[in-house]
Amino acid sequence: MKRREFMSKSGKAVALTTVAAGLGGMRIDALAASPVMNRMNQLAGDNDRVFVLVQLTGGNDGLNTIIPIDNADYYKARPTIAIQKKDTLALRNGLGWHPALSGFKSMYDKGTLSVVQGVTYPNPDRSHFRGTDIWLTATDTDVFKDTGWVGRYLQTLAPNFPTTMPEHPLAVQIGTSLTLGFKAPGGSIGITFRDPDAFYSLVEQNGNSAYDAAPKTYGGDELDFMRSVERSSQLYSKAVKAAADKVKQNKVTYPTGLGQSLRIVARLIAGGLKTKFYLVNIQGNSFDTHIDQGGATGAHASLLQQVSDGVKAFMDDCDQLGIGDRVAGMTFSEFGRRVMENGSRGTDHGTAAPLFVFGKNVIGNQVHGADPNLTSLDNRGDLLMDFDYRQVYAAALMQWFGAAQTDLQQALLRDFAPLPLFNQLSSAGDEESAQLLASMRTYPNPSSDVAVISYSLPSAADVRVTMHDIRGSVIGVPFSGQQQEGAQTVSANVATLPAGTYFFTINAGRLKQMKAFTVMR
Amino acid sequence: MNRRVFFERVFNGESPQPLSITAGLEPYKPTDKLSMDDALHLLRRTTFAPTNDDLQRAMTLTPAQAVAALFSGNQSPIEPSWGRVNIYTETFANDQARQTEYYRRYYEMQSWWLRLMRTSTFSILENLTLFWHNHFCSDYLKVYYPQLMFIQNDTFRKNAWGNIKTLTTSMIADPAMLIYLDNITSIKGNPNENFARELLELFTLGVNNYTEMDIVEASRALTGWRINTQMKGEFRQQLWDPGDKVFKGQKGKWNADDIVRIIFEHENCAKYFARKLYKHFVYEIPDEKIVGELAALLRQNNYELKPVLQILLSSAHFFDMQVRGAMVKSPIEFMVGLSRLFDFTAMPDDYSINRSNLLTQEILNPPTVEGWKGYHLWVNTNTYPQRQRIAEAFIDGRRNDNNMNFTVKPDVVAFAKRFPNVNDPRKFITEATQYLIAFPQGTKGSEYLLEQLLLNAPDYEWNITMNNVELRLRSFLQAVLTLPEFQLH
Repeated sequence: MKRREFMSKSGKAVALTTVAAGLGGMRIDALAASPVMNRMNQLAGDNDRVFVLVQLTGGNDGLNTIIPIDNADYYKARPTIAIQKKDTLALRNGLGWHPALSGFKSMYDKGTLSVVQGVTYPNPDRSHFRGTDIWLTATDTDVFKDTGWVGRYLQTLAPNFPTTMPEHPLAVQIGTSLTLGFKAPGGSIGITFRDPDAFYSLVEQNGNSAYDAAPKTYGGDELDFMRSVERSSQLYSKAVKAAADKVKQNKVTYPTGLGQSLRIVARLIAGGLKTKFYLVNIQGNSFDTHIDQGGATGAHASLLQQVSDGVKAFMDDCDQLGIGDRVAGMTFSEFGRRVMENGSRGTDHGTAAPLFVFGKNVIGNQVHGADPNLTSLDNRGDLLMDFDYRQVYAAALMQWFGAAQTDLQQALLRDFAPLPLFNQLSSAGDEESAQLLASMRTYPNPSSDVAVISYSLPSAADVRVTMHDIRGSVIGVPFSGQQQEGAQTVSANVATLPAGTYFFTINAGRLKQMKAFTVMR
Repeated sequence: MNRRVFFERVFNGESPQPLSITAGLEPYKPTDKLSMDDALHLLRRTTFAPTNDDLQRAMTLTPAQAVAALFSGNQSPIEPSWGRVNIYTETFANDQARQTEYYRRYYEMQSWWLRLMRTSTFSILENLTLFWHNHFCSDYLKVYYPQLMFIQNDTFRKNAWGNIKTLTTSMIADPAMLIYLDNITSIKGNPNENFARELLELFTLGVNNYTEMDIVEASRALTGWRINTQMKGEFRQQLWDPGDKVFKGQKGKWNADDIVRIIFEHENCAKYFARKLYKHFVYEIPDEKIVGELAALLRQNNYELKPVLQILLSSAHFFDMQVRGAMVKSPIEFMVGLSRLFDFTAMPDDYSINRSNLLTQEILNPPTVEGWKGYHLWVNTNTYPQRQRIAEAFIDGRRNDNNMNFTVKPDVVAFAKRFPNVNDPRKFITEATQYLIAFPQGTKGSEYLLEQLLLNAPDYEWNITMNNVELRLRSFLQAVLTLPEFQLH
């Protein structure tokens, strides 16, 4: 007889609440009245929104995703892999969808998907692991963190984690090893598994119920960590199974690959799992298309199709399961790829690329940012930045989850102006904010002597335009005072600034938007 | 400082406090023979896991004697038959046949290396070989030729505790490395920066200790390396950029040797290696004072590793109670450890490999040039219960991938008979637990383990000849091996 059988047969099975209690925490049920649980309940009740991160591992080629169909430089740079205009799906003037993205196109046309062009960060890193870490930890290129942006945000919702474990896992990755993004200051706040049923049967539900206190040494600290992993496995494998059991059937058929992970996510959300963040990813380094990446068909096309069809099926399913209103998500990838194709009919590591936000409550049918400029490139022949990726995170946290400014700073380490991407819990200011952003232009970009920002104020306001560097340090205030509704222009002397990426931030009343520009020497 | 306080400080934006162990690098109990706990600590950290023979031997030695004895082992083990067959003259029926044979060889080499780890006696050698594999990373998917991965592995083994500067120099000419980081394509006028960047960032200096210009200049100095027809790295003068380079503030017509020389003149290089060694052998969060002292020792010893590592491993700092049990076992330590702890010789090769993979560590195939980051990333809600199920199945003598039995089961009765008080259930639990995990059990833990051993039998009935003793021993051992404590050492 195996130990596990013995345990259950001998009637020593221990209630999960007791398991948790034995580990130095309080009983979950005894926490109901605590401020922490109140906050958790409030989150679960008043704000049951869920955000799904879709990671395109390996570096997605942005120029072959949203195609600049009227740009001769694009076709010149990519003699063998360019997507011909006639093969693309119509997006808008000058831009076409990769033909594999019919799912995304239909969502975009329906208003449940938007495109953010030119997303990266200043001094982008072209290494996979560093680039991935940067996206997951929401840091500047030269800042190293061992906690993730999601983990830091979730720790603000569960400040006593891991002493007090939330009833349900706050973050779930469908996979085998846990993303750095879900690492919180208190430890891994997310869990990972591939399949709810396999996860449940993998985890020992009985185990030891009564641990002695760990010694007060570094070894003891690590033992506490290990116990918290065990506790997460035990507690959450049951919660996950319960949710998955409630929704045995999805409402649509999913494609293979990424879609199969999303299929599980839909079941868990609809089954009532109170998880805020999910992460699914493409297996391996698939998007790293150095050789033979193909064009309208081929390796890259089939990856895009996997993502687009998977996400489309997922959102359709969510709709039919009655959870469409509270699910949104985004794609991301550690970098885009070089403008010029290489000698192996592929592309090397690059910088800026488009990403997608999706969901019934995204402000849909938008292409944010300028079309890629293939004539002013950085010294490596890579695209310049339009938006910082943390402006997308800021939108997810503030607009989607309604995070407070202080929590945002905790998660993103400093302030970033959110792009107008999601219908907010309270929607005041959305439209004006979007109008302001849409009107913002910097020129000449890149600049060397004078940088100009033009914009259009939706209404008269007290305005402060600041210029700052990539660390957020203010290096100038080119304008401060009252401005009238309508077109405005502010210029700044940049002749003495070293080459690099800079930002203008416009604070106009309660509106705040940010725009990057480049100084070249 | 406990973990919570630590995290709160981190969370509040304060930098993590370094370890504050008062003990330094002075010798630990220099005239005493190692106690059982001390011997276990040393062997866990240096040999994957203690075998009974190694443990008994260590307890006859002083710390310095035991540590000195660990620096032995066969640095020229019997090689795979294909290990040095020339890749240029070897022929295959077709590409498919070549590919199939190469994959078979990688499987053979992984099996071969894991066997060396399982069967080594009183030796730090394979631990250090793995340390270097995880430092100067290459992976078989990119390198492709099994012979080249084998030759690199051989270099790590032969230089395991030798001169770090020499090893770094040999990596410049290492064929697998030349392919893995693209230096084989680097040529005057069009240098490839990949190797130069990782040489500075990951292999010697660490981030923030060089500039982007240093990378550009180093990449120029490192041009010209190719693999010759004898599968050796070879410098070709005509492909090398002979111009002046300014590297780390020094100007000259530098070549690869000059770059290594200049790098190793810098204290930050010594600190980088010292820190990495500390994290590998002592604890993940380095004590910067000790790191500084180790770095100074490395420089005094002209980067000879052995004398410096021996000082660390026999120091009061290394043996401090603070760091006992503070390392997370890697999947390799976990899998190899199961065999070693139980003197188990029948672990199927394919199973060793596929379980390590499942636990996210496939030797010869590190995830990136940064290697396995380890520590907390080794365990999550997926891998933690996987480890538990693997350990349970192991004690049953069973694979948990297909539930087939091993050819023999771990001999749990022989295991139990090692312990002097095997017929006293409480004392037996204490002794066996002491051997298997680094944390003594308190009242609750001991009671739980006693229940698992007795399975409702009264304790006075327990002795090693009782009926069903195997069933009870397996139940007890499964309980120990699925404790959170077993994932640490």
